[in-house]
Amino acid sequence: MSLIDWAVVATYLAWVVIDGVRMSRRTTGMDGYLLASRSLPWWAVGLSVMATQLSAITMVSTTGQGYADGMRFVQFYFGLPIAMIILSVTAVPFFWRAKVYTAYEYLEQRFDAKTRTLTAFLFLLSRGLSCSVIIAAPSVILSIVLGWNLTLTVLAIGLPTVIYTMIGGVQAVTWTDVKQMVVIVIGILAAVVVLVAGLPEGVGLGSALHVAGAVGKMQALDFRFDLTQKYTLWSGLIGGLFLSLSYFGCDQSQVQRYLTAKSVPEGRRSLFMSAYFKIPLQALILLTGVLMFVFFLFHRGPMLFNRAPLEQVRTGARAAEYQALEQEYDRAFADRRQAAQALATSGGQPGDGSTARDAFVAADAEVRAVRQRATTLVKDATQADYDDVNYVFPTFVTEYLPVGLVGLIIAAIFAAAMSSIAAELNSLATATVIDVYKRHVRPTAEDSHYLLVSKISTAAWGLFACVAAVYAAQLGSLIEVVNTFGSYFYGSILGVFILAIGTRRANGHGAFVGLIGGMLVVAACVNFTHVAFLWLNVVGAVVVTVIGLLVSAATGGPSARARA
Amino acid sequence: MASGDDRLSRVFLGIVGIEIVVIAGLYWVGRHFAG
Repeated sequence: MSLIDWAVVATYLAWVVIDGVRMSRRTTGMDGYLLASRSLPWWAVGLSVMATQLSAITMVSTTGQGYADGMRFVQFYFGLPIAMIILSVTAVPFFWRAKVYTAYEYLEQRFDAKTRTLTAFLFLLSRGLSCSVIIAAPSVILSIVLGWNLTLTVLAIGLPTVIYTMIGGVQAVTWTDVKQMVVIVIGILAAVVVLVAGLPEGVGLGSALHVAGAVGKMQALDFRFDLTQKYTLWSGLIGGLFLSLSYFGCDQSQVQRYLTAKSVPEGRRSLFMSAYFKIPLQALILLTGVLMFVFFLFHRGPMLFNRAPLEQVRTGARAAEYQALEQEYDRAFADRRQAAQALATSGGQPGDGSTARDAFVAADAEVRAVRQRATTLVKDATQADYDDVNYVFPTFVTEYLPVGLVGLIIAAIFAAAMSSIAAELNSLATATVIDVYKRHVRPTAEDSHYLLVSKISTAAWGLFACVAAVYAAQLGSLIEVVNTFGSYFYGSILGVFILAIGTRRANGHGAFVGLIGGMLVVAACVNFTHVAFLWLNVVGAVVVTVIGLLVSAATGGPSARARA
Repeated sequence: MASGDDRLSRVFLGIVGIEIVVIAGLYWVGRHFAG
């Protein structure tokens, strides 16, 4: 990275911290620190909701997914707009009017303390771990691509976030989210412009998309109803709906965003922003990946993008084998470039371009076969898993973007990570103080005492996330484990909230037993079936609701609170 | 003047309508660029 790029990243970091800390002036008392005294406008809350969901993993992995698999992943988000409609008439008014700090606090108002404590505990466990992964995953990639020290990269992302979140509270989180969202969108648009400008002469955007379409990368929709397929129209619409209901309706890191809105209508509007813009934004990020695929058809990129283990292979016993594959790749790449050029200039239309298309499809299959053999060789030689897709975008950024833009996009990746981490730290601190400390340790104290404990709690979670991130980064496979960990109980927690908000027939025992039953059934599905993870959210929610209603009926029917 | 419920219903219809248009658009894009 050049000095100018370093300056851009450093300026961004300084700006975020100074601006975030400045927000502490607007924060008075615990209500101001945790809920901004319910004073924020819908558009700021809406951007904060989107920034919280869009992490650095989204930016780096989703572009990589677009590069490798095309637009298919966009189906994951199809249930989101419908979830926002449902939440705007259920969760938003219920939580807002109940005057709660956390979603789990509402569960005690509706059910009992044990249901609240268990759900809050599950949130603290999963979000505490995921927060460290959100720091670790981009740190690993950036440290490899840019040659930075891993621990320093973790600290560069984690520490500024902890500082402004701890000092400024939710005001700092929301207003920095707004600015970070702007940086992220500008970064993505800049990458798209460079990718289009980098196409060879005579190859326009339309021809580029025809070339990508020839190998199925523009095929966004999969209509098959197959529970074992990860991304289909149905898993996105139904499984994605349940996942979004759970994430935006039951996860404190999102619930806390719209609890800071000025009123119920403002809270609703903040969710509608995601309903309108989330799918187009994700489509744009995936399209960036597809354009990267086309870009690397005409520019000789590396055979494998993740270079961390390659040195070991190049100097090891199988170095000659790897070198032979490199030469084979050179030939296959040259053939594919020629075929891509021929297809692009034929316009990709049927009839005049069908021969060109067949030639390109065959040439692409050859390149993929060589890359696959190289990947297998690396795995065998290092006796470790090998992840390549996540390194495509950072490699493109650092090696092909002009000076200044490299810094801007690294800053955008930082922004994506920091906006998610800040919201998670803020919500972890809120659940710790409200659902654990104030509920079980010290129920009555001065407001200033809780404010102090909230700040200490934010710092403690931040410290934990940074330390855990350093360890998680060194144990790569742990990241995958933590990422799938949440899907064990996401749907089940949604089931508890369906019992709380959707029916008056449930009681605390039903909700508690239902939650445990739902998690056990989901764990059984994970271990004994091949059901794709999006469907687990449906399974969890349905099982909890059914068990919850049955147990409630068997234990005396609705709770007194529901009858009141 | 439209009531709050009417306005909300229109927003919901708008969101569902846009989603249908987006999915149809993605379908068209997939078919068109498949060549």
